Amino acid sequence: MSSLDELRERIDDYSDTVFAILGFVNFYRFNDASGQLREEVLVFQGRRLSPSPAKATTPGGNKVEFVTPDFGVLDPLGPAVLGDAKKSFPRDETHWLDAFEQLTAYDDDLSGWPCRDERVERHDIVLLTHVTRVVAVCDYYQRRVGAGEIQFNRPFSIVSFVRSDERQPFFHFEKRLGQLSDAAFDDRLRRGVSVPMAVFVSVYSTVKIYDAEPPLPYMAQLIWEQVIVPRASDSPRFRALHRNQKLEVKLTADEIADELGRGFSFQVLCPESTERQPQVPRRAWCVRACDALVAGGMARWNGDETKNELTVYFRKLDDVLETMLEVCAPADTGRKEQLALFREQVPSQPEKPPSEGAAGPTKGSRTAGAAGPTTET
Amino acid sequence: MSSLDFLRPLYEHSHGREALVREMDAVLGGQRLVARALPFYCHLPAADWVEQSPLLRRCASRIRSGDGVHVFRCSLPAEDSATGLTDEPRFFIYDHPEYPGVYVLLTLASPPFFKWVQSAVEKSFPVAMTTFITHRTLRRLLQSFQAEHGLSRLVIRRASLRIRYGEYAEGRRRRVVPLVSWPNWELQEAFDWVYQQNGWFQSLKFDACRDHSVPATVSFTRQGVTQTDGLFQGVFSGFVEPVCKRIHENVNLFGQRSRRERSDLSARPLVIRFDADQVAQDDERRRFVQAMKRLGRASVSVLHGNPYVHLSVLDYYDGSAFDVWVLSANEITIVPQMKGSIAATKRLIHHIFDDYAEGRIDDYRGGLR
Repeated sequence: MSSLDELRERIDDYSDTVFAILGFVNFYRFNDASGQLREEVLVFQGRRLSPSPAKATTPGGNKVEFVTPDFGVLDPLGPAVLGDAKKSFPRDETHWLDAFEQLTAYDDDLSGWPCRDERVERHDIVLLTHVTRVVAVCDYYQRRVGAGEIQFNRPFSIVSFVRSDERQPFFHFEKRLGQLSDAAFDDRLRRGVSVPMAVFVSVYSTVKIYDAEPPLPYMAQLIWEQVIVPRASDSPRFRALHRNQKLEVKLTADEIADELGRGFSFQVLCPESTERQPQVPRRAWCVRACDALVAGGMARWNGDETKNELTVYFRKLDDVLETMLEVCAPADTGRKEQLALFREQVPSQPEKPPSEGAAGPTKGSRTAGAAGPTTET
Repeated sequence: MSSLDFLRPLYEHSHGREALVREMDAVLGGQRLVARALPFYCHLPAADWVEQSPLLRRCASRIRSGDGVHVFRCSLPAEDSATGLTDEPRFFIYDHPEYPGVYVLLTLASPPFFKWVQSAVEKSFPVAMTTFITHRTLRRLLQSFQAEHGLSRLVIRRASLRIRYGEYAEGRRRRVVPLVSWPNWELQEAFDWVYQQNGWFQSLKFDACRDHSVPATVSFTRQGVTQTDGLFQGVFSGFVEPVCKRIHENVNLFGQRSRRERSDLSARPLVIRFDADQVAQDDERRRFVQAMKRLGRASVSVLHGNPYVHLSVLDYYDGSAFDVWVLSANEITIVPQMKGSIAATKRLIHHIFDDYAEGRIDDYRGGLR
């Protein structure tokens, strides 16, 4: 497989993960009887929840400030839900425990929920994973439970998802292990639920990023199409611009992160803005994508080393994604090598989140489907 | 000079909309003239549009405005004396009484002048825009026109066709093929043939026959441009008015689709629905993607090509952006992003209808926000 094909596949995986999260959380939002959305049900993504004093310190003595589940559902009439979505798990099972340790961190009397007293009485925990890995993951889980390495006190379930490419594509969800508090929903999910993709076409088109760094070309494409082009089109030169002509567009990394967050992340579904709701996309992801544009001669950083203001040489590209795949492939290869080196040096250590903007791996820099832990310490 | 005597009152006297159509009809009856009409949409008032038009502002001056009719005189280009108009050509802009922003450009001047003034409308895109008439609508308009005016036959004199290639060939760009023919066919035959060829009429010129007489030879294009040498009132009500209505409906349907126009930034998708399972097969979906890649002045990126289709489309006229999805066997869904202007939406759908297949445009209903 060529590097471009591999990048395309990773973009597809990333989108599938977003679609799976959206499909799953909407089980709780959708009222089957009325066919309407239940506006009182809140869904959120990447929110920082605070651990109870009992779990505020790791066995190694490190302080745990937050846990950040991939998705959360707050239903005033039923149990709340927290969970992670992992399309794939690494071949090496030694890293799988990290994923479950992260999930057990949600098995706690957490505070910071998006409700008045910031707490809920009860909540379920769900692992959403792809059908191709679910049997192995369930087997692994049961072995580790048997060995006393994993234990959940709250209801925990493993749910598989798969996109079925039939005549009318749909996502199929099926509970493979455990029990959800809502007995009726648990039974439905045990039998398997198929959700046609056509049902979610609006939401698929608005939520394009979740709390994991997208593949570089996908990020660059979003920036180009949804942030740079609207600014370029404000220029009186835009319409008459020939293909070989360039138009300079100035913008900052903060503006990029802010505009994509407001228009294309889960913020669209849960617009509450608090310190607990970290910005998605992270500024560092935007900077990395802009670095790739700079390396490809499509932009330059202005001024100092802070990498904030950028001048983009806007051109009318025939196929933005194809161009971004070509421009970002070298940067992506370099980044993968860097990550591999990091993993070799620290083989069993979970990915630590260094300060924003640093080149090392973070929770935010976790690629789609990787099984890195998501506790922010 | 006799023709000038007929035309002078038409241009110099003030008349309302209905009187203008009636008087143009009367002029055609006595002269060898052709009336030409171009319905279009513009969000500016008619006089402002002429003043801002890159082509018209230098040479068009307003003679008079009133009762929904504006009269303009042009100093360029040189007029064709064969029309009987030896002085500066003139044109009317008919401000539609029911449909805001919908205008009809009317003139009795020569074909070169009409082409020139038509290009002024086209070059004003996206400020001004014409519409597109589907094959099915064209057929319905012709049948209604024939029935309402007691015409025995409509005989095609000249047809400009476009044939969409039905097969997809890997690595080869297959385009819509233009054809011109003068088949002398009757309406039914011509439409059946074009349907079988997976094509559409770009324009039709036909004789409107009443027994052994031909009271009018009429031309009608997919963009709604209408020309006739007789029966102007009937042609106006039978072709121009329905095109104005279609423009109005499309403006309403395509308007306010930009996500940034709503406080919650939600999307308001549109659906192109087909009678049959048009996009059920893999090769059809590939053909659709190929057709989309031919959209000019745009970026078309394929996020997913098969089995479902997800495209990201950028319009380089005004920066509008769309997600285009094929997720069912008989529907294409268009999701305008932060900016999805009326003009860009119209251009995108027009391209799909021209290069791929025609369907019915509808508001997206159902599904989840």
